Amino acid sequence: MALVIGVGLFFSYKVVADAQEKDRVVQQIMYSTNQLNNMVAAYVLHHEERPKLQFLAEQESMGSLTARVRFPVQEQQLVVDHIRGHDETIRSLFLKLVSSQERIESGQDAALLREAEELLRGQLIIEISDVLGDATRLESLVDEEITSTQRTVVVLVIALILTAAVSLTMVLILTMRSITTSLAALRRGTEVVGAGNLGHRIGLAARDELGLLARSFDHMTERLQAMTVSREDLQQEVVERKQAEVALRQQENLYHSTLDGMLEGCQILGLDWRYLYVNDTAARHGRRAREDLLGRTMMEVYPGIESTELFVQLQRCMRDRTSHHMENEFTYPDGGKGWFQLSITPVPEGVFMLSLDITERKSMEKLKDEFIAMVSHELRTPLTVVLGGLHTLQDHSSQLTAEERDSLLRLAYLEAESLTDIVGNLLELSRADSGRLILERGVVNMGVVLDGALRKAGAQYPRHHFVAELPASLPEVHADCVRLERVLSNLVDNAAKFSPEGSPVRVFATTRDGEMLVGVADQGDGISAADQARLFAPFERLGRGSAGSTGGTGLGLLVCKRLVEAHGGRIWVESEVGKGSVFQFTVPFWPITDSRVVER
Amino acid sequence: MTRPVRVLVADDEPGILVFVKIKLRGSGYEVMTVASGTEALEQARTWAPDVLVLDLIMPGKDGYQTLKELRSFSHMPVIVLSAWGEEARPKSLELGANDFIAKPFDPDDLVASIHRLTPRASTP
Repeated sequence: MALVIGVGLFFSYKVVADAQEKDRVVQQIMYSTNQLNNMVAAYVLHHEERPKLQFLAEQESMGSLTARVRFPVQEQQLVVDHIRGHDETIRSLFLKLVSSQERIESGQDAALLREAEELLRGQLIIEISDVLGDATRLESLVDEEITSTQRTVVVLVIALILTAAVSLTMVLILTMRSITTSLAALRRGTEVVGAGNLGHRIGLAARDELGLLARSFDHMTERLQAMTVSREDLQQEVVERKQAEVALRQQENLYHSTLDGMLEGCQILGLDWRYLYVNDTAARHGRRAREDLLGRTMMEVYPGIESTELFVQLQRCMRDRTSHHMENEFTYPDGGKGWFQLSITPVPEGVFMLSLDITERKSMEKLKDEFIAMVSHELRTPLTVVLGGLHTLQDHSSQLTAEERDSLLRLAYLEAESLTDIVGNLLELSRADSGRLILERGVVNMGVVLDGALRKAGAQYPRHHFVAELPASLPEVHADCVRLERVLSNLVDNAAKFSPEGSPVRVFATTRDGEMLVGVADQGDGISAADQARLFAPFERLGRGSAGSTGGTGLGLLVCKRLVEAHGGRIWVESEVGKGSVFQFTVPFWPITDSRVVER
Repeated sequence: MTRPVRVLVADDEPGILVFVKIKLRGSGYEVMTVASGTEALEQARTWAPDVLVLDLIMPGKDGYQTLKELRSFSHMPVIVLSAWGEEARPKSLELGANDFIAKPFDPDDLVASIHRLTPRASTP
């Protein structure tokens, strides 16, 4: 637009410059015309050579001027051409005037010539007036053109100013808009980046300050992103590490629950004797809460442990880095004891100890040992009598009286029978405890069983007084006759053994609630309530002192219990210290059809 | 001139008393048998035996108890008989027994032990 206006203005300037040039030409023409007019007048008056030459020179310069000048406006050119047309006429008229003058001077017809001269002069003046008129017209035309051009220029200048104003406004608006857009982009960019999207770029291409700012910001964001990416990598790593940790913890938990669920105690003692690890079982073995152990030294927890064999072994393991296995009886600070099978192994942290509680096994072993001791004692007494009696009979046969010989043989025989009973009881117990006890049931008359047991007891304990109490009629039971007799014999034997000679041993049988009730009552020392509870326990015997007291009750009663229960009955004792004891058992008339009970 | 060596035998097992009495009498000893610790202590005071053959397992006052009480008033030789086997030997000797014989035993061993513990009987 501005260019158009500029071009317009340029042309306008050109037009004005041309017009001025034309104006100058017009003025020249007018001046020349006036000069011509003056020259004619001067020549006519004086007829001198000088005005004539001046006229011709002036006329020639004007002719060349009009021939040279080209007016772009057609109307003007027409006027100029018109002037040029007059030019020739004026020249010829003036030349005619000059010749007529010369002829006058030469004395020719002066009057006529004068007249012609006057005519020529008149024509010349007319011609020059025409030229003057044309020049004036041309001047007005040029003036008009200048005026019009000047008006155009004003319009153009106003247009230019307006264009400039509009352009400026637009530029201003555009610039403003660009700034606003840039600012908005910047603001949005900061917001987006601020919200955490570091991948965002403002990307402002502008080369202004804002563009620079935006690029700086983008650069900063890039740096930040790079840092953030590395931070994200770090975070990812942290997340991965956490996951790994969780997995590790799960694994650890698995190990812990596995270790805690173990039957064996596991513990790690540090080289400074501090508990580093203790599983549940180990804490239980130590009879301490895990928290009370961890971090503390063994000596703190168990004062005086330094003097124990266990400590010596641990010390050796720490020093020599060698493994040891041992069975150890541990004494707790409160005096309690426990047996443990221990494996002590060196580990980088110190010593790893695996412990297995064998207290029960040990006590079972002890009971078994006692049982074996008891059985061996029970066997030794009759064996002593048999062997000693036979030995005496052999060595001193000739010195013995017949009575003494009978007595020794009878005793040997009875004790041999007693041995048979003991061996029989042992076999029954062995069968019962290994599930091989099979009853041989038949119809049993309890009266007959009682008689058999009492006859045997009478022979063994001749000084006791055995009494049988039976109702007039007693129903038969479906049972194992031999086993029932063994039960009864054991009970009667015990009664006789633990009651004074000459005292009565009462044996009774009766029916009660659909079952047979059989009992043996003595007048011995009686049994305390505490002893009663342990009487039928396996490998248990009455605590009547240690080695050196009367034994022999344990095996018999245990066998009684097994045999009675195999029949589906019960056995129990009612006793009071100082008032004797009553052992009773029941036998169902018909066996309970439960193979478990039958085949105990 | 010298009276026979007196042997007091305490055992609650009648069968043992029978053959021990026959054996010892046959070996020239004067024998008295009792069936309890209480009786043994009583006869130890009154009958003045030269040696006591003592069973450990007896109802009431057992052998250890009897031995302990006996040692409070007498230094007479004591031979302990035990059906508990060798494990009862240390305690018996500790309590003052002079010899220990585990059941079952050869009657000749008992005679030898008595003989050893009563030297004067060897020079009748």
